[in-house]
Amino acid sequence: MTQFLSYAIPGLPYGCVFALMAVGLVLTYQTSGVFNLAYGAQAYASALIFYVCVNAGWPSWAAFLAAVVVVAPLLGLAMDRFLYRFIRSAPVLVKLVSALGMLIAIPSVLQLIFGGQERLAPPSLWLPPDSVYFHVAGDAINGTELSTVIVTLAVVLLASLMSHFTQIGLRMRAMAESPRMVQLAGINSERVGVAIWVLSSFLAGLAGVLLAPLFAELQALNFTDLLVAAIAAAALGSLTSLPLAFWGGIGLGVVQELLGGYLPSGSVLSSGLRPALPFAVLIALLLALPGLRERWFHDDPLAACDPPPPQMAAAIGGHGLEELLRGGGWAVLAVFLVSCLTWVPPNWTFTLTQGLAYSIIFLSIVLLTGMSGQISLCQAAFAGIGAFTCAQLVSHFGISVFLGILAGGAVAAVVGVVVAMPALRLGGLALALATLAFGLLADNVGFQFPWSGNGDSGVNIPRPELGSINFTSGKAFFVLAFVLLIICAAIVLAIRQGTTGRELAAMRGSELAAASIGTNLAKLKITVFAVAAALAGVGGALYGSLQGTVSPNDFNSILSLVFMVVVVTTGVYTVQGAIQAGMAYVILYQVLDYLPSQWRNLFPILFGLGAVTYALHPEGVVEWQKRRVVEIVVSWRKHPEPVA
Amino acid sequence: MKPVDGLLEATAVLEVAPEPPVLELRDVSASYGRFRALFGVSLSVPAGSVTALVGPNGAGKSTIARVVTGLVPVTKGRIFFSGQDVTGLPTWKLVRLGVAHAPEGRSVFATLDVEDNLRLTFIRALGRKGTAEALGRAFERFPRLADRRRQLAGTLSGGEQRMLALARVLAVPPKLLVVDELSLGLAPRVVEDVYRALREIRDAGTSLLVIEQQLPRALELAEQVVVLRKGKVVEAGPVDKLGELVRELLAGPGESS
Amino acid sequence: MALIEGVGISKRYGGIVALDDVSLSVERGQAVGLVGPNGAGKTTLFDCLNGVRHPDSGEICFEGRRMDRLPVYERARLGIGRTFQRLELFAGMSPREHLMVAERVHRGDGRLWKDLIGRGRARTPVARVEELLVELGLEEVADDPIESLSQGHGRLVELGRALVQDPLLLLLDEPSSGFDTREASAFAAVLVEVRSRRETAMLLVEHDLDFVRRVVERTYVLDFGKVIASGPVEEVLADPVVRRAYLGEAT
Repeated sequence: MTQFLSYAIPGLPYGCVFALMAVGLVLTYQTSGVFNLAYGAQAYASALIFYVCVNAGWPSWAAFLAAVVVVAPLLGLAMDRFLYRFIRSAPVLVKLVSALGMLIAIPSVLQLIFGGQERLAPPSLWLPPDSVYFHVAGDAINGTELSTVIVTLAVVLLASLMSHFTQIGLRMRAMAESPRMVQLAGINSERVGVAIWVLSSFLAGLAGVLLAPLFAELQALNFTDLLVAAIAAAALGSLTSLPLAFWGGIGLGVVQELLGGYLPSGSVLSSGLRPALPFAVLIALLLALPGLRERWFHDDPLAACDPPPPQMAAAIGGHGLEELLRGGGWAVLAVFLVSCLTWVPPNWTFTLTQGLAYSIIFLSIVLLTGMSGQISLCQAAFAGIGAFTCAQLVSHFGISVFLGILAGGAVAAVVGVVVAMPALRLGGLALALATLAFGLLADNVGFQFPWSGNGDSGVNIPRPELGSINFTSGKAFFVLAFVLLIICAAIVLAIRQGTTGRELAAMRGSELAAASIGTNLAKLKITVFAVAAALAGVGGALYGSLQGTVSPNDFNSILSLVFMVVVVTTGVYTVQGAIQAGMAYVILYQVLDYLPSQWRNLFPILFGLGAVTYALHPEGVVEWQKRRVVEIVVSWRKHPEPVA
Repeated sequence: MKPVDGLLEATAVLEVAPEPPVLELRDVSASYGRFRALFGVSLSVPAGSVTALVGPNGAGKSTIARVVTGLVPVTKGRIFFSGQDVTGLPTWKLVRLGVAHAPEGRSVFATLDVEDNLRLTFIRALGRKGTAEALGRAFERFPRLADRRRQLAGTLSGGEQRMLALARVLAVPPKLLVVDELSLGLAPRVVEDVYRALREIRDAGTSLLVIEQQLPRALELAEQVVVLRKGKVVEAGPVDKLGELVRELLAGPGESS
Repeated sequence: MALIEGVGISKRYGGIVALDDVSLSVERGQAVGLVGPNGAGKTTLFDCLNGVRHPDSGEICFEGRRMDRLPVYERARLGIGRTFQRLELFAGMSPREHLMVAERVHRGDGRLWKDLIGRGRARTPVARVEELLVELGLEEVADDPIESLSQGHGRLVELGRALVQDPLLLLLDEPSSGFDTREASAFAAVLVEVRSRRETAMLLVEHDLDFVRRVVERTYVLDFGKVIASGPVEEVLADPVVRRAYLGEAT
């Protein structure tokens, strides 16, 4: 028993932080409908500012005021004013993608401002970390742990009381359903919206400052990993119950430490199980809790007040213009191909070939998100599965690299089905969360074994050969990648134009009606998810063969999020969108390489903010601009006819 | 401009009051993105009266309701509320001035319980003390709601939801109430209850703008009618001087219901 | 043998009894009404027949085959079409595309491999779809975006989407809701016409009694989850029990 306690007690502070994050997530989701994936990033922001202030010699109360009482609410205010107030009535998944953009952008903005150097030994907030206050079951309780527990309890108690017993709490809860109806009650919904974000950002900041000393180094990534634990805890409360989310967080922290204590240290089990725990809990909860099926989340009854989405550019200009645009597309493609084979320098050919491989991966996002309205946050993991399968098969069984690439796609598809099967039944948000957790699990555990991604050393994939043709030269490989991309694009186009594509469009319009005309939704979704995973796997294997050596870091969990953000920024509805995304991704990266290293941060910032535009222009930046041009052209050609 | 003339004449005949109409739309246009819904609509609701807004589907009736409550922005024209220009004001300010709106379909918060639904409006309008009193009165008037005060409003039947919406209005009588398709999907018996509540609201001094598909129902209550078609006012006037068009709308096998 | 027959269907939500031992049947080609006050369980019953919900107890047979555990899409493939009270249309698709996708699914063309070898192209016009668009008077708006259509046209599109699959039974949930008197009457005429041409059986939930009179031969009345009356419309509506429960008249 004493041993049990001595393992369990150190878990409490972790549990408190999980709980604090989970309560914040639930509160935000319940009141704004935003599943705030940027919550970890917000926590990091306050922790960083606290660190910087303390290191600049500020007393810790002043640093606390600056980081948690001033900056955190201001950040919330900014997020509301510049983003969330425009999308209050948007669907849950659209808000999720916007939050994803913030998650990518915020840490980069901070690093741009404060620099990206190592920050060791984050300071403690309140009670000195070295003094031991008392012992419980042989554990020395130090200041950090004590202050974490006390502050968490106080804040969670206050937040719950406020949510359920005050006027502003009632108004916040009403907001989630329909800000317009809140206005019809004579309440300034904008003010309530601001309050929600200020409060939730404050909670995030507090969690960040409390959490920081528990890590040896202050890193944005730590906070994102932590998010999965918080999501699992929130899921325990069906994403709606504050007390359950709180106890879920505490429980997770304690169980995690218990596992660490009882499992033999240094074994794969203990290094693997701890990161896997939140994932396992999340998946189990998704399966076990029918309440998670988004049933509580009601549509805005006043949604009809919103204007319908704009038409695609091609539809506005009529047939002639559509042909023109398509012809222009082919012309650009031809120029591109010829250029790469003639005058483009080899290092740029290499970069553009990378772009082709990414384009194939991004096609999977077009198929999944653009065409079927599902959000997967682990496409990089599928790409990794493709690459590592290919590498292992080629090195162990000596099969042809071509076959290896195909096998990579096939294995990714199988894993995709296994991951998606439970979550798909539950709807969009559950799938997004389950895939996020899976991506982290694959990255932290799955890819670390010698038989998979082989950890940091990575694995080798040679360039393919076909009879006497050798693809080791840059140009030959470029042609190969180009042909593969064309084939993959043709597959996606065939699906879009075929019956499956129509059924997917129908499903996005109304799942109920799609089922009532005889569409097997579960099968349709799983099929599409498998095809998408296969595309990502093929793209990943191709990328691996191009690079020669790939390691799990080439397909890490953050990349999955970046991929999503990049594609929705350029255009998630069209095949061209994926190719534009692939090219923009590598070209921009290459260009930023010429700038001082700190400016590298511009890359995630640009795309992060790009994802924010997804909410307003879901068709993507490129399509949006194209439409504007077309509209101008059309208005020149003829006066717009009045629409009845 | 004929419709407006007709309407002004109507107000004169009724000699409602010297005060300005509670609501007046002057040449209002509105659209949803690329779809235009209203084309220069002018109409007025005299203080203390009931006006019915009728017309076929897609004529723009609901859009008028949304424009009046600020939910959909006006692209052209002006809106006056008791003589004050309120064009472009946000919905919550209009509500505080005395406009209430029971929108089509579900008009309660499905995820809040019955009492919280009422409380949300009451606390804002009546303060803490007034709320307790108003809750008591509301539950007395609608005993079915009292039985379900801790039940989520989303689990109420269609009729009970309408009652909840009207209970909110009754406790804090507005100057103008805009009701959109209140009888939609309700059994005849429940429609009866709803109209009884509407009459109570009118008797408390509230002017009503009623949108109703079941024309005979609307005409029982209304003193004047505005007929819309394709986003334009085609006729307006007191009920007893209905033009050919309204009679045509009324005709058909639906008369007996 | 009845086309669809439900025996002893019960359904509770928590402590609330939504359906209490309800039995009903519809013969081939017959039009049957389902009326009753709000909260009487009509929509729940509809959902149970359609497969959106599963009854706690009771049996539902379609053409003599048990089907109460089948999912929605399999029932649709057996020949049960449905329209919705709150329109459920496919955003971004034209009326023609609505009918096309339904027709494709009905023909079982939704195989992925067929798309990949180009056999599943959805653009080729289909004679049945064109005929139906004309029959329902939708040909003029066939290519307009669905968002720009009036509610009346929306209902016709839903009807067409169901009819293109040649259903044996059509479930219509408040088809006249959102219509004014004239529009409702026109829609009733369309339904009568459809039935005379195709002999599709219909079951409709409806509050507009004139609408019910025009379309159906027989009706059930539901109150508090129980069938309180059934039979020819006029007879049922004359029943004092029904008048009290539904029309709110004192006896």
